[in-house]
Amino acid sequence: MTEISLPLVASPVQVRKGRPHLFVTLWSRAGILTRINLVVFAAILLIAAGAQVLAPYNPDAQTLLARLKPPVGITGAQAIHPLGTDQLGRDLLARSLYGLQLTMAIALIGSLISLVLGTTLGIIAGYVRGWFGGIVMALVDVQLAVPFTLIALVVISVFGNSLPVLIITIGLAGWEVYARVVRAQVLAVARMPFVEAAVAAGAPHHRVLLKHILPNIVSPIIVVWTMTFSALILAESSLSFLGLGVQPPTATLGSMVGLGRDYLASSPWIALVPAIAIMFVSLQVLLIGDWLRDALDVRLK
Amino acid sequence: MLDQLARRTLGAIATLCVVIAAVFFATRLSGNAADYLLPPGVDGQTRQAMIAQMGLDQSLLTQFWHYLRGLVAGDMGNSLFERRPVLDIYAERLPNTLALFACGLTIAVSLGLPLGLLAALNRGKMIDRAIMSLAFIGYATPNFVLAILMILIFSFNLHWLPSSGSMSPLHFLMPAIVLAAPMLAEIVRFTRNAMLDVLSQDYLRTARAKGLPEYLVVGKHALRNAAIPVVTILGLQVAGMVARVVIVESVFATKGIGDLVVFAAIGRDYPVLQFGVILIAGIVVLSSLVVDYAYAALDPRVKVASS
Repeated sequence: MTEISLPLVASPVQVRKGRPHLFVTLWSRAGILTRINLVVFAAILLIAAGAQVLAPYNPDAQTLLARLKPPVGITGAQAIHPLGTDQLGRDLLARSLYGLQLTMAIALIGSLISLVLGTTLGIIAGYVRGWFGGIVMALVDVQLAVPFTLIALVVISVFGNSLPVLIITIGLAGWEVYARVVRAQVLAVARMPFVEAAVAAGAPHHRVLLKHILPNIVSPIIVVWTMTFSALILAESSLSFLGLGVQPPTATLGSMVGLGRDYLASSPWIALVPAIAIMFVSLQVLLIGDWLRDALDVRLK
Repeated sequence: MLDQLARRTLGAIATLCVVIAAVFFATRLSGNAADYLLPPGVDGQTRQAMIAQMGLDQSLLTQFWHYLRGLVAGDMGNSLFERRPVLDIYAERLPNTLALFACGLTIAVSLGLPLGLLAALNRGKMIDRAIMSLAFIGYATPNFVLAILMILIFSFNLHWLPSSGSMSPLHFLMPAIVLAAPMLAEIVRFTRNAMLDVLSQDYLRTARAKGLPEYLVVGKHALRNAAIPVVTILGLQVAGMVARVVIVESVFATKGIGDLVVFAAIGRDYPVLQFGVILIAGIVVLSSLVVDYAYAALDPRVKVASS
C-alpha cells in the first residue's frame, strides 16, 4: 500500500514543478528580434510610469524666452531642451513623457474595462446561450455597424469631455471583439469531453466556468488584449488629436500632435516629437500582438 | 444560402433601428432639449411658446414618434448653427466624402492587389520582405500621424500639394492616400496570404501539368480563387474607412460629412450629429450587406454548402 500511495502524493508537486510559467515558455521560444521588441516595450512602460522622476521640467511650466526652440541637432537648439520647446516655451521632452504616461494609463484602464465587460458578456453568451446570448450578439452587431469614432463623438458631446468620460469611452471600444472571440471559444470548449465529464460529475456552473472553461480560453483573451491595446492607444490619440480628449494644459500624445498642427509650417517638431512617439509605441504593441498570436497559436475568426 | 442572406438583411435592418433609437435617446440624456434647441436670449413667454411649437412639452415617446416621422419624411430639423435644414447641409457635403471614398478605394485596391500578388509570387525573397514590412508600417501608423508627415513633406517642403481644403482634385489626393493606407496594407496582407493558400492547391499543379502558360495559371486559376477572402476583407475595411474619414477630413479640412460630424460633436449641434451618425451607420451596414451578397455570388461553395 505504501508503495502505491507514495507516487500519488508526490505527483502533484512534480506536475507543478514541471509546468513552467507561461511567460518563461514564451520568452524561451522568442527570437532575438521579439526579445528586443519585448524589452523595448517594457522600457516604454517603465518610462511612462516614471515620468515624474525622469522629466527634467514641469510639463506645464512656460519659459517665454525659450519659445519654439528646435530639438538638438538643428541650428538654434538649446542643450537644456533636448527635444525643443513648443509655442509657450514648454519643454517637449517633459511634455512627451507626461503625455506618454497619460496615454498609456488611459489605454490600460480602458482596455481592462473592455476586457472585463467583453469577456463576461462573451462567457455568458456562450455558456448560457438562449435569449441573453442573442441580445449580446445583436449588441455586438450594432457596435460593429457604428464606427467607434462616432460612438465616442456622441458620448463626448453628450457628457462633455473630461478624463473619466474619455476613459469610459475608450473602455467601450473593443468589448465587442472580446465578446465575439470569447463566445466562440466558450462554445467550442463547452463541447469538449472534459467539460462534459465535469458536468456529468455534478460540478456546479461556477466551477465548470472557472476551473474548466476559463483556463482554456486565456490564450485568445491575451491575444485580443494585445491587439486591441494598440487600437485603444490609436483611438485615444485620435480623439485627443481632434480636441475631444483631455483638457489643456494637460496633454496626451495625441492632443500634443493636434495642438502642434498649427505650427507645422514654422516649427514642425512640436507635432513631430509626439507623433513619432505614438507611432513607435503602437508599432511595438502591434509587433508583440502579432508574435503572441503565432506563439500561442490562436486563430481569431 | 438564400435564407442566410435574408437573415443578414433582417439583421442589418434591426441594427439600423437600434442605432436610430439609441441616437435619439442618447442626445436626450444630455438634459433639457430646449436648452440647446432654442436660440439663446429668448424671454420666458416666447420660450414656452417655442417649446410647445416644437413639441418639447410632450412625452418622450411622442417626441420619439415625431422624430421617426421626420426621419421617414426626410425632415431632420435645422442645424443649430447654420439655421437651415440638416438634409441640405449633408446634401452639400456628401459628394466630397464620396469622392474621397472613391479615390481611397481605387488607390487601395489598384495598388494592394498587385503588391500582394508580387509578394506571394516572390515568397521569402527581398521584394516580399520589403512589401510586407511597408504594409506593416502602413498598418501601424495612425492616420493623423501619416497625414501630418505627408503635409510636412508634400505641402511645406516640396510645395507640390495643397495642405487643406476641398477646392480642386489636387486637394483630394493626400486625404485619399491617408484614407487608403491602412486598407492598402490589409489588402496586401490578405492577397498575399490568400494567394499562398491557393498556390499550394492541387488544381494549380494540374493546370501547370496540362501545359498552361504561367500567366493563365496565376491569372485565371489562382487569382480568381484568391479573390474570395480578399472581398471579405474589403467589406470589413469599408467600415474602418468610414471611421477614418472623420479624422482624415478634419485634418485636411475637407468639406465632407466627417468634418461636419466632428464640428457638430464639439459644438453640440445635435440635429446634425444625429443624422450624421445614422447616415454613417447606414453606409457601413449597407456596405457589409453588399459584401455578403458579393461573397455569395463569387463563391459557389457557399451555395453548395447550404443546400
